[in-house]
Amino acid sequence: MQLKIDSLIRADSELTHQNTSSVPIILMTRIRLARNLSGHNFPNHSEVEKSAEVFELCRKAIESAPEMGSPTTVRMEDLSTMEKKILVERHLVSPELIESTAGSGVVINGDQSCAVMINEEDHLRIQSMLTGFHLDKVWSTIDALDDSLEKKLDFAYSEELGFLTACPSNVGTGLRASVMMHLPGLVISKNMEKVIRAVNQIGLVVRGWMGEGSDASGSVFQISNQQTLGESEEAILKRLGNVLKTVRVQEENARSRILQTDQNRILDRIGRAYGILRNGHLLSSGEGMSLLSLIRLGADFGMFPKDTRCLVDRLFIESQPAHVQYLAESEIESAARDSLRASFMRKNFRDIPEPDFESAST
Amino acid sequence: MAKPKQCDHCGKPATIHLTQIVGGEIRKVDLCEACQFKDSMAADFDLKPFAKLADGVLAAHNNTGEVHACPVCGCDDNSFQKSGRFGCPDCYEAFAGIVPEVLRNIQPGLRHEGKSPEVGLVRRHFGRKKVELRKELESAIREERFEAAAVYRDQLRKLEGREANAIEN
Repeated sequence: MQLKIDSLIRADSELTHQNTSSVPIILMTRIRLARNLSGHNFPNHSEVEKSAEVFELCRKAIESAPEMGSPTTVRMEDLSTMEKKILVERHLVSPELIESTAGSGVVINGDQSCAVMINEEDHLRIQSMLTGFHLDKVWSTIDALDDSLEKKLDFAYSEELGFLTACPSNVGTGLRASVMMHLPGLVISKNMEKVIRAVNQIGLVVRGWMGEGSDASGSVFQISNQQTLGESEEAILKRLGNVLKTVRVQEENARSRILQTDQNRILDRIGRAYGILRNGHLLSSGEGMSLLSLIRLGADFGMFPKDTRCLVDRLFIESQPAHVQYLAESEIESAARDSLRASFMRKNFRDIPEPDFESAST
Repeated sequence: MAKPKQCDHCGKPATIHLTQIVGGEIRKVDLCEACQFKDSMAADFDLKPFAKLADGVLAAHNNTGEVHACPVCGCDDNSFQKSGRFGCPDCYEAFAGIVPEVLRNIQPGLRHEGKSPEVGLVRRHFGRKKVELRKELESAIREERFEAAAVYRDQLRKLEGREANAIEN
């Protein structure tokens, strides 16, 4: 089966092949900017022909931006449901984009670290991401990309309210920065709820791994800013960064406490996770996430070779339902998926050595 | 395409999806906007931004008694209240009477403090001047003041040159 997005799935991408930059606790940093063209209705209020016009204007500008080296452009209307879901699972498009069809699409750069969605809730949702904790670096990339696009496109902007967006909750900077964190220590020690509450109180949001409405399987959470007006981009990023550092320290402390007070229980869970991933024959995507999460924790504890962490990050994505369907080369039922997912895991874990329980430490 | 999730309370299409972790247990609810306040879990959750947005729109509307409709896209109070979204960039102007009230509920400030589109501002600055000059030029031609027209045409060309220069830099 030849897919339009084959090359994207087969290529080495930022989120799946970053051996050196994969670090404990923080999976990736992502920033998006919402932008609209002046003189055009927002996508929700736009006629089909007008949306197509906006798509073309945007597509040309994005493809020629220097930050978008070797771009791939896909229109949502040209993709199967499975292909659309694969793009969501790779964090290249939002679940909202694949629900809309009229003139919507995405332009993705060569290493899949930048993706610009067209005709989502706003005309443009510019996104940039990197493995690890890099708010400053991602900001400078996306700031430059935004400048390049702005040379070609006339953005709707008011001196008072900043960049104008379909929803007033994005007006101003149009910026949402989110950092994906792996927090098994806080979940196991039952402190996650407290963290969520504290983070909410300072105007930040915590979501599950696939964004709004997704669950928190694998102990992976996204923490992001919610407010966009009245603060500069730098101030928003600084505040978010400070909170994330605090959460990271809390997670480190929780992990040390678990190793000190309940070592056998956590080593048992990591050991069993390894056993199942290496030998299991049926694996749901939720269980897969939980087991991979324990392996990542084990890698952070020094129980597995260092590059195991990057393997886990890749498998987090490649063991999601649509990616497994891609492996099967057809749309298969969930039971068949579970069996295929298990065999995919066995293959990937064949060469991972037994956990080194002796060296477990934080 | 997957069927949209239904509200756990009334079965209408759900627009709010919450996940909560209590003592390692994961609990999920799907709610429609009307039922968001009925749910015990939603009460725990930070739904404020959404609730505040809806409240802000209503309050602002009630306070002023004004009626708004955007002359450019036709978006009116009713459609804004329903979707929480504007129809086009000009709506911010058309709804100027209630925009501050809406924003006060969901944003920490009312003034943009972030970056501005440099090229866009240059374009806008020159755009305004070009419109003025073109008007002068047209009326000069109409009134057969050809010497003046030539001057305006020159100025317009120079202005375009300066604009191209400014955008380049």
